[in-house]
Amino acid sequence: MVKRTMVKRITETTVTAATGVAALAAAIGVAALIAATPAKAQDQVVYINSSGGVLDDINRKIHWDPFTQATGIKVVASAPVDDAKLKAMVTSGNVEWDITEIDDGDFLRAAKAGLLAKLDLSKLPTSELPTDAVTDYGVWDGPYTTILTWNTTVFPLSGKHPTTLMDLWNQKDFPGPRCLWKDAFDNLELGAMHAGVPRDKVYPINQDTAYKELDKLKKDVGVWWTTGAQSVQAIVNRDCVMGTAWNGRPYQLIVKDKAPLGIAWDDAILRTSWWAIPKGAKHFDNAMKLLAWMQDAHRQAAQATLSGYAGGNKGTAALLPENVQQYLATSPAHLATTVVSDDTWWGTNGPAAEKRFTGWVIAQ
Amino acid sequence: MRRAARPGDGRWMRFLPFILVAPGVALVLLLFLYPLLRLVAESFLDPVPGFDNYVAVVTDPTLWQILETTLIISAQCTVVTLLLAYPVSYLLSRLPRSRANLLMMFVLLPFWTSLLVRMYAWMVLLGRHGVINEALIDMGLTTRPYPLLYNRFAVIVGMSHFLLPFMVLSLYSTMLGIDRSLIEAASCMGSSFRQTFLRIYLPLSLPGVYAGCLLVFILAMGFYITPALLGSPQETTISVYIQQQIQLLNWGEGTAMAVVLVAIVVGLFVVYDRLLGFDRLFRDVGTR
Repeated sequence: MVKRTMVKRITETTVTAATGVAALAAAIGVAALIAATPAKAQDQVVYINSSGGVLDDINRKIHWDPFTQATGIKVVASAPVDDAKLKAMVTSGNVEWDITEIDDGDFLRAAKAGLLAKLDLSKLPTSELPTDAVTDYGVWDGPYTTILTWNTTVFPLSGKHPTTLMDLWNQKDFPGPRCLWKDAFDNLELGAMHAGVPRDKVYPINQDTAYKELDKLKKDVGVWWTTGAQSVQAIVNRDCVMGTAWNGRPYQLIVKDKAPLGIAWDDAILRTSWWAIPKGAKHFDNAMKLLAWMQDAHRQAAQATLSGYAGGNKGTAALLPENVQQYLATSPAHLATTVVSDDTWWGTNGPAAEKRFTGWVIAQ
Repeated sequence: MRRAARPGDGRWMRFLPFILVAPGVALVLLLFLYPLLRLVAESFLDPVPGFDNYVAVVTDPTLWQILETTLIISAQCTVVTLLLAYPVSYLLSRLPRSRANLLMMFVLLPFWTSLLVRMYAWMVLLGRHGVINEALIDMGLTTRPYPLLYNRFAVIVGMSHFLLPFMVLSLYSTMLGIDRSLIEAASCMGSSFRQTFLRIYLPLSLPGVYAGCLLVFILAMGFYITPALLGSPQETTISVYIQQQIQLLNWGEGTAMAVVLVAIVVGLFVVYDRLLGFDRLFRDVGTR
């Protein structure tokens, strides 16, 4: 009898343990099933990840919906740009994106870290693009410029108003708080230029020189912005009288809402964001098709009219009226007074520079 | 009757709790413990195996400054929420249930809107030309706008707004369990309101205070969006710094910082346990 009870108890314990294990196994099984749902080559879909917001709406209208109509391939969009997520996807082998937008400094780092797939360049209209706009691992989403924007109710366009990013330091003529991006990007270049380094000699950046100038500016910074929307909102709300912003942001508000914003282009800094395909993307062919589709000059012109950002196609500018061209980063008049960001410098020095910047910006 | 006589039944019942708990345990193991261990492993392995990441993290003065800021902000939020929540909870515990439930809805109201929307609402209110400053200027109470936004004040306001319900719920559940007859007895014996409160009510409500403070403090340690949106760079918190490392694909150092943060929180738990004892958090709660 005793023996029977023992056996029974052991059996029951085993059963309990087995139930637990079974539950665990089931959970793992479900997770694995979700993770490993095989993508068929015939899947008529492409997953694209970008900065989202207004730009997503514009891309959908100009590029993606017409693409679906023409090819039958559905475009599923997600946001925001997230390099950490890209690394997590590629290293875990569960790649959800077929295309992702990526900023220039990060782009080189990601390519070096083996996170990006080699493009099939034969599928792209390379003859219509500047040579800089295509590499093995990416194609220009488009150039954008960090400009100075200010509130025209404070400094009216008819009177004395800022004309260069160096006016950030000019409290005498333009008193009031400034807004700057809470990032080493742009600020280091601005500091170097204010120290008197010519635009074409900014790289390699002498950070000690740059910080000496930024130290003078720091007390006047009312807002260190962290998102693009915040950069213009703070100026419209008059939390700051002027600040840095990406050129499309004020453009969209000026065109759509007649916002009281002016733009100064001198000593602006040009950067580029890229479209890239993550290594192991499940719909590579569809991704190449969509990337090629988005290089069309006419569609890029329509995109620029709505967003203030043009793509890389050389034929786009000729299709745009003067009042749109004057807001584009690549207009020849602006390019003459703009610093072009050195991706290689940022690709190599970015992480250390960001760390130093954080240490500087949090100090009292 | 025959069923009850079967010898195995009782034992099955005894194992039932374990069986019921198994899926939950499996979920925690799979979705929490496993990733956490992977994170610890990453901190020792990326980019090369060794202690390099920890050396870099421990010798990084920026990290220690940010950590200090995070701890101070968390402590400030804990004090503010405690001071605000205590009277509210006291009132709630004295009211009849139906009215208390109605008021409790207002306490929980902040949970009904997204955190981001609430933060933008505070920005509209506190801005240099926001609702509050414009009203003060229009009423002639000040000529220059007060700096209400992008500083420590705004961060504490925004975070306390979110954390307040946690403190209220914790205090409320303890206060409900306080035997009202003890207070009546004290008054009968001639004790003043102040004496009754300080010598009877306050000590009895302490378990709720301890639990609420611990909960709020630990939640505050992990805040991310609020300090980033409402604060100045001097309000940069540890989660923002960790996120920055992760985004720069600097995963080794980022995960090492995360492990340091977890170690500090666990350390605080241990100190707390030594000083106050965890059992006191749960004793007296709901004993009524």
